[in-house]
Amino acid sequence: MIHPALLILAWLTPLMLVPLFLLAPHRAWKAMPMAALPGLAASLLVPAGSMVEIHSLLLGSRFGLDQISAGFLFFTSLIWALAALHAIGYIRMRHRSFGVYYLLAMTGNFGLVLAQDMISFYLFFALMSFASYGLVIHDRTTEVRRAGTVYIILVVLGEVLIFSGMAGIATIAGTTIFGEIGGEWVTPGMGNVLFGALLLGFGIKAGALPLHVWLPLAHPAAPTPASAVLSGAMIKAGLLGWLRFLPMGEMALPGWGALCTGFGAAALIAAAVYGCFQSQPKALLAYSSISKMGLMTMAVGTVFLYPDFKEAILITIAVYATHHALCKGALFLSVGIRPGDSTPGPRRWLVILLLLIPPLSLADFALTGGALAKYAIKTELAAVISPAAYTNLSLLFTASGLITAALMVRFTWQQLNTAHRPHHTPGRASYLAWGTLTGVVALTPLLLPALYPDSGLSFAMSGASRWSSVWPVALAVGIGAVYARRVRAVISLPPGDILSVFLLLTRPLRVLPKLIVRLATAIRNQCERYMDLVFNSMHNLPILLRHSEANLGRAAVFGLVFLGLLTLTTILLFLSMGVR
Amino acid sequence: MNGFDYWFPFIVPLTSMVAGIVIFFLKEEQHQMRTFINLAVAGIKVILVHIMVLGVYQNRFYEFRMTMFGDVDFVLHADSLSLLFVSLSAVLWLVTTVYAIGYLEGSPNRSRFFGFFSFCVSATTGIALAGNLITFIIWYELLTLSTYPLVIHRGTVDSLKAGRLYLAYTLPGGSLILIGFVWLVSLAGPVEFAERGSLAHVAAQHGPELTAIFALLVAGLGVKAAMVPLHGWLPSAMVAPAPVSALLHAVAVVKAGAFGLVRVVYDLFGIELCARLSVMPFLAAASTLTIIYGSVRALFQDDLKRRLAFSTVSQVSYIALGISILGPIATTGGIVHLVHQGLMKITLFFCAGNFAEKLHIHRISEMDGIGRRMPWTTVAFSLAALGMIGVPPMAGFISKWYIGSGAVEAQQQWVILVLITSSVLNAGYFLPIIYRAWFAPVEGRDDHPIDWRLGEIHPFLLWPPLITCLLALLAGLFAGAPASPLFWAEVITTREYGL
Repeated sequence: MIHPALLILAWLTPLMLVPLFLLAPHRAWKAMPMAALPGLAASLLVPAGSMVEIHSLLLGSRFGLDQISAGFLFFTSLIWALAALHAIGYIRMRHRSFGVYYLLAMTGNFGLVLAQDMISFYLFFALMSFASYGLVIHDRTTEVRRAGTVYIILVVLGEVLIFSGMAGIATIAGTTIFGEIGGEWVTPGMGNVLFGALLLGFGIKAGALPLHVWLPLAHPAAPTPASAVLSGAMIKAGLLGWLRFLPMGEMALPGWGALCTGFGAAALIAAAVYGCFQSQPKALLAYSSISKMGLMTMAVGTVFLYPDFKEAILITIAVYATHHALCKGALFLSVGIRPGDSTPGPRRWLVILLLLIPPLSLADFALTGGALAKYAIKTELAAVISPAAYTNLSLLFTASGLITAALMVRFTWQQLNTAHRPHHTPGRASYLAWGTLTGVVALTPLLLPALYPDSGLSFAMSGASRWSSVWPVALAVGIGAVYARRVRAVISLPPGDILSVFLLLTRPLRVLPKLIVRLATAIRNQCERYMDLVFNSMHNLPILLRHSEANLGRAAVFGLVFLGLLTLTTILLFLSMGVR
Repeated sequence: MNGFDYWFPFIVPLTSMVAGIVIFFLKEEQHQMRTFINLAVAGIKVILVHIMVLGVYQNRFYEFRMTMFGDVDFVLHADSLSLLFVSLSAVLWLVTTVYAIGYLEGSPNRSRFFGFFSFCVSATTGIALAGNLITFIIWYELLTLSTYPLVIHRGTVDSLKAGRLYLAYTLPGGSLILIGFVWLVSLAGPVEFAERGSLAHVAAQHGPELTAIFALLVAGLGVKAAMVPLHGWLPSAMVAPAPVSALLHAVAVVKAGAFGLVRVVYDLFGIELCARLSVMPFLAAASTLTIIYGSVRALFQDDLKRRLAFSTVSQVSYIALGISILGPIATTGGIVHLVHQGLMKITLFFCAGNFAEKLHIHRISEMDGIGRRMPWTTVAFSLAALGMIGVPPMAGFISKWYIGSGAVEAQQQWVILVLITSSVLNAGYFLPIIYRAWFAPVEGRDDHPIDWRLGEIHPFLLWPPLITCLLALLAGLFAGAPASPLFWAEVITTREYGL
């Protein structure tokens, strides 16, 4: 009995807390971290394969867990709980509405992880996306509003893309239940259109390459705890959407597979490189997220290429996603924490040590969860693809490792040396939240094998490729040190990259609505003028008639007109008879 | 035949008719008496309709029949489709009456207003229950005549002009239907509405004539359903008081048109005949045009009620689009949108009325920060607007889902494009309002905690939008539950398609 209840309570608890915000805001604010606990409990206690059905909800809803979604729920609920704790200590949270949007988005995120049918998934996905708008534009500055606008436009676009894909699949497959959809719907023509719609729709959330533009704007715009959940947890909803809706392992889809791996690889490198030139730490982290999501996109593409290896690759994706989520969450929560704020001595050293853990883990340093996740994905791909391709892939991985290390060096450098005081100073609860999440990140080499027993990973593997997981970091630190000493001016590029190009190119189009309005107004005015003319003449008709009657009364005029008419009629009469 | 069952369909429209007549004779200052009659009759009607719904669900037979002339009968008949519309109008009438009482408090000519208001609802009920085309026409014309005084209620130059325009559109529209009827009777004799159509006996030899009759009927009904290019009266009729707009847009007039379309397609011609005459692509094209055109026009309106009016133009054609696809799933979507659009749109108009009444805000550009000043009204508005876009779990999503998947089922995938274009446009004109209401910068008041104590406006004006909004939410969230509008729409579809 407890298990089905947990599957519902996981998402219902944050929702139930929303009304409390209207009645007792202060108490509700403090209770926010608790709202994620049923979700955490569900991820750990509910056995994989559980399922609960509510027939009357929507068109019949199902909630359940399998090993992958249990992992997703674990990191999702953990990040949401700790980010909420961080928010308590984050002073200058001006609008209490933050809590409402936070809880609604949390409901959405938990619900979509648990949802086992399309419509419930879509419901919670929409709830999360729209509620997050409130998180993104919390600070209400002009820059933030712009980021919010870009965000919401892409949300709407994503929603309609997913809707159309979903409506198509549901009808062709005849079911909305995940796991029963199968892959028969991917027919040439229509099926590919639906596939593309879903790939793009969820790709927006996952920050996949050409659709990522909202991410480096929105993630830094939001307050720190919101950035953490956006970049740590919510971005994975796009990934989960792919895993749920697209036919994983049903058939080989070489075209789509090549597309995903190609764009994924491009994102992996390009986003990390671009991220190195970011002066805002949060924008830098956002680019790092795009880069890492690129790797996951590649892995999804690999499933399309080699459907037989579905199970193994999916577990690897989940492992990688879990590590990235926790790590990115910890990195975002660390923004604003400076060692200089704590008293000198062991306490300051502890802060510095903790600050170093997530960057090292993200750069796949030996004995970290990052190294383990990378080992998992690398060995898995080695088993699947050809040796020649693997050589290229190794090269790609090495390059990406090096750039990520450089990215993290720059981030940590900013972190340790930031001179200016950001106006958000974290409080005690924030330190606690960040410290806890960092601790979890440090434990990921143990945690990941426990969470995903099917993956066959073990702690020892995190130190397996010791040398190759150490030298990129060492090299990046070295380059960074030289760079910091010699070069004073740091290049920085605006976040949003191709968005600026896009806006520049479409600038001429933006006068279009105005033109249409002007044209329409002109047409309407012209029409009204004619209408007025007609109406006025009708209005004047009696006067006109009276005047002409008065004129007709004058005999001369009357006589002349009469004679004229008579003659005309006669002529016409004769003519027409002649014709006959 | 049970005598009670015989009179029942007659009594239901009669109650509001009698109430209207009594109200006419009340003095202006008999405020409490009028309120009592209004609410009592509206309540009684909800109960009566409820009884009838239960009866029809158990396959009871309610029919009232009276010979008018020759072999033409006046027939009132309760079937599953008519009850969908009757329930909608009964419930929303009750809510709108409460709202109108609050809205018009202290204004002149209230007896006249509520008298015609009751007539209007009586006519709507009659339209729903009409068992053949002539009965339908009688009530349809009565509806036209009883809404005219409501549109011009304020007596201003603008409202008189709007009233003239309303008549100029609807009276010719009505006469088109009448011509269609006469032609039809001369061809096929006195035919009645029946599930799966009643023209099979003349279908074989009179194809072209039937097509022409169909065109006449659709054009006549399209006026009230505000299909482009026959929609001109609707945006200007928004000068009427808010409760009237709510009624016009959500329950009575446009819905009468849309309901008439459903009746003509399914119960007069029947799907097989419609498919054979291949008239549906034209209806689909017209509704597509209307959906897109209405939304595009709505984008450029700054007046809130005008924007909502163009949104109605667009949304009501979802119904026509749904039925024109000629597949069971899309039919369900179209029919259920009759209810869903009503719930959402009435909420929006109530809210617009509240903004105007309390803060004298009529334009969208004045709505900055309105959410902080009237939070509950704005919450209701925002939810209904999201529903219009088609965001789950609001009811609008369910309609969109059924029309969309029904289109795929019937191999008409282009409909999905129409739906998503419309959704994007809806987002384009509703989201900026929500943005202004909750997020736009306002001077001074920004740091104030919002007062959520439900005291922002008179309860008679606050509760109706909250209730209708809640209904729109529940209709979507629990669409799978028995007794949801979707459930009922599926019952109708099953019967129409003989599944």
